[in-house]
Amino acid sequence: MLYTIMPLEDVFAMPSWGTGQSGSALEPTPSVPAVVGGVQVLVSPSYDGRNRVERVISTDPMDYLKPWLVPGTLV
Amino acid sequence: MRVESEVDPSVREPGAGQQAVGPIKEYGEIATPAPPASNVHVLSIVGQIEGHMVLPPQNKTTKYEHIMPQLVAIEQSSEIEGLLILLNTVGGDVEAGLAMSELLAGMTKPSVSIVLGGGHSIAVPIAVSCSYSIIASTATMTIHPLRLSGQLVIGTQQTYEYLERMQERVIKFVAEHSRCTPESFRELMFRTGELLRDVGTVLVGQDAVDAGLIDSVGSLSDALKKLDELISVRRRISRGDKGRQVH
Repeated sequence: MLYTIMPLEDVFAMPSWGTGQSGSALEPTPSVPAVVGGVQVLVSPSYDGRNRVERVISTDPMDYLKPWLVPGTLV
Repeated sequence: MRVESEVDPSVREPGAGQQAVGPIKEYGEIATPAPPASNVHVLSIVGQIEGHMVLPPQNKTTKYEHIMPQLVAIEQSSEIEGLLILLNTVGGDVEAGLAMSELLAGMTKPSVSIVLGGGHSIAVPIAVSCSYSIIASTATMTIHPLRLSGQLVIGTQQTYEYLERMQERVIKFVAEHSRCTPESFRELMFRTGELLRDVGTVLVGQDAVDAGLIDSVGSLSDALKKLDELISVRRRISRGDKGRQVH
């Protein structure tokens, strides 16, 4: 059960709704959890088979300063 | 650069610390000194709070399966002395929010929450569950009743009672962990004339403090100062306890 200020039709809307196309380029690729250099991150597959760091999910603030974990970096 | 699969613990577990310097060597870059360890850890709870249901990918979410074990790890860690919670969320799953709130309230380590931007709906119990809560002067908190499917029409008696009981859980938690009474929180939830299509209240910065939900208005430096204060109090108490045990 959701308790949110966001209208539920926005929460559950599919990105391709209304455009008549499915799997459009605008649809975000799902990110998967991975461990890079001992730090938990979310990565999404990139075009060349490598993974792009999407988000760091560590509670250590110093992990966010590590240059090899900057979101967008290919790993 | 190595990426290990989340599901393969055999690769990940040994020498996690050594792996951190691995990538630099591989690229032939200059070895940088390891950043100093922080005794305060940070959890950002952003977007929708995702619980029992996986939300469509256009939602930015914070997942309970990430947050809950992290809270346990922080409580257990010998190096971490305090926890800072950054809240900027539109709300989300009731049970996920309550689960995080209960864990936060049950920690022995001091925690400070900062509401930034927005801390709406189920973010209210999370904000008040910490040892001390702070709201940015421009941040807002929306307090409104629970709804089943975005509509105000309730079909059956059972549905009404179910909603009432779910709502009661939120009200009870907030009242127990803040200066706000159940009656005044309920009044904020059902106030008319403030929200365009709904009943409820929007509290901006100081309003949340006046309502008794949040402890003070401030930002990062205030939160870290308060956390340091709480950490030193806890250190004094634990030293005192050890002293007593010796005698």
